[in-house]
Amino acid sequence: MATVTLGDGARLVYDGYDFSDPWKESEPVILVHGFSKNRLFWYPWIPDLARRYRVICLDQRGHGDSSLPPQDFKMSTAPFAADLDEFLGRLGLESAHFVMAEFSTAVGVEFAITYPDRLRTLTLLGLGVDYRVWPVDHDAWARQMETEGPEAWARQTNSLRLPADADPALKSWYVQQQGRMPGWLMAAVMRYAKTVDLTDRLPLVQCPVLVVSGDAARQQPIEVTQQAVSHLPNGRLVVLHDAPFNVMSARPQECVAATLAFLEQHTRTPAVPTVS
Amino acid sequence: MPFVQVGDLQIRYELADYTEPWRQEPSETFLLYHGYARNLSFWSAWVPLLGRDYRVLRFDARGCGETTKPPVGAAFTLDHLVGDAIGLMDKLGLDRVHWVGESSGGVVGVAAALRYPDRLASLTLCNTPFRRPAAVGQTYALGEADQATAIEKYGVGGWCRRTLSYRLDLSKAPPGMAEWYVDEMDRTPKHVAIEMHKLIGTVDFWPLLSQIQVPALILVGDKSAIARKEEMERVHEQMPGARVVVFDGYGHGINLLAPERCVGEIRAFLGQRAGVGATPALPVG
Repeated sequence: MATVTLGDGARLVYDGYDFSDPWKESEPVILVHGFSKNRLFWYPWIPDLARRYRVICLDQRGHGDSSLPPQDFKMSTAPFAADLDEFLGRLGLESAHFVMAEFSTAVGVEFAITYPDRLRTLTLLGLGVDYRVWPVDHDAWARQMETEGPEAWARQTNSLRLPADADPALKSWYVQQQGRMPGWLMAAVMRYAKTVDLTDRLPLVQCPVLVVSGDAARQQPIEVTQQAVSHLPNGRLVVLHDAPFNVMSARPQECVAATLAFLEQHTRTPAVPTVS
Repeated sequence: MPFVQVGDLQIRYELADYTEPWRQEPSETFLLYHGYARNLSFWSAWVPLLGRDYRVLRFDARGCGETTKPPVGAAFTLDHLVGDAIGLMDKLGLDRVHWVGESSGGVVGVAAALRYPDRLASLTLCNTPFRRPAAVGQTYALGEADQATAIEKYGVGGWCRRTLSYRLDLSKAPPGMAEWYVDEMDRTPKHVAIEMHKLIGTVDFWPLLSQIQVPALILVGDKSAIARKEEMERVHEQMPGARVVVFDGYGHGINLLAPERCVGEIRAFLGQRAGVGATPALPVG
């Protein structure tokens, strides 16, 4: 566990993993968890990804072990994108591959538009397009987070994130981790989310983009995702059959395989010294 | 990477765990022990191959990598090396491990299996000699009085480069691996390499092999001049229960050159032992 301190004093906590061949260059891949999650959610991703890449998982501001924003903080994706830009700079990296999940895909799109030089590629796991039309009551959810707490809300809505036959211990762990986020912050995210529509933003993303989505997501029909990906200048879509919205936790192996295949196509051939 | 104080050493280690975070019982643990004058980075490829099912412990042995270097003149003994590893396990709360050693890391493993049989759930040796052939000693002396003199003269990196084909099958090494190998060994101080040589060069475990009770898997390349196929094929005379797998066409360094196959053999070996048969399932360690 390591920490960087940003210009405004916020601390972002991260872990680094690299099991690549030490005699080769390994490019950095930054894994950014979904909202109300944290960096621990990437555990099934790390071994295979870090065999080939230098993997960095961070807790976004307000999540996991990182600093909380102030309670009067004005929620939008922009400050989270700015955090990623500054985080990269503090690590001494010009650019990296980014893998972003669930509602953080909205941050990813904002980040790619505002800081295009920072991304070699962008992988979006569960891309929400127009949250305004999602069949959920964001305001009621926000009130429940404030009154009953985030864990109660997370438990009640878990079937949206994980398949019914998922290991009960996984479900319980997932809910408990979501419960680490303060209710007021979750509610602020929720009230902001209901205003987000990325339809007009997607054509502005210039870097290569991979979208991995489940066709059983109850939040958004797969046709909407297909249409959105067709508006990305350099995008492709991998659909996981019968998978829910939260593909990174529900179907990690298939997500990792798709991500590795995509990254491999956009990785520079490393220079290696000649054998003596 | 973290450090932990074990006796007189600050040991650099990594205990990787990518098993399900909600597990009630911790998973079994592999301990990976590197070879002569090397360090934990020689096991990079092994962590992802094991890490979703097991915890994986790697560390820099006494005097190697980032671990404390004993003062010049301090002798190395197997008691030190075994004690360091068991002490590290104690500090990390690990009762039992599956020990994998490459080359001389397996020699330390044999010593650990003899001394602390209850702490090893299994023992896998990759290209580990039970006694070093005399001809290798002459080669390693590089025309000097002995290996220690040669290391003093050429430095660890220079000595390693001149003898590299004995510890790495260069016909199988991908571009860049050989240079990296030499550079990593060159990070080991001369006096550490010399003391380790004095210890390992004189060990003869052959007469003691029959006392090993720990389930043992022996992996060997048939072209290794150090861990010779002829000796490994006779190991059943001493260890009837050991499983020997010969990697045809490979010299030394199979842990680096064929990590997937090594781990596949280990998984098959443990799976067989855990299956229906005379031996009960391996306990959690």
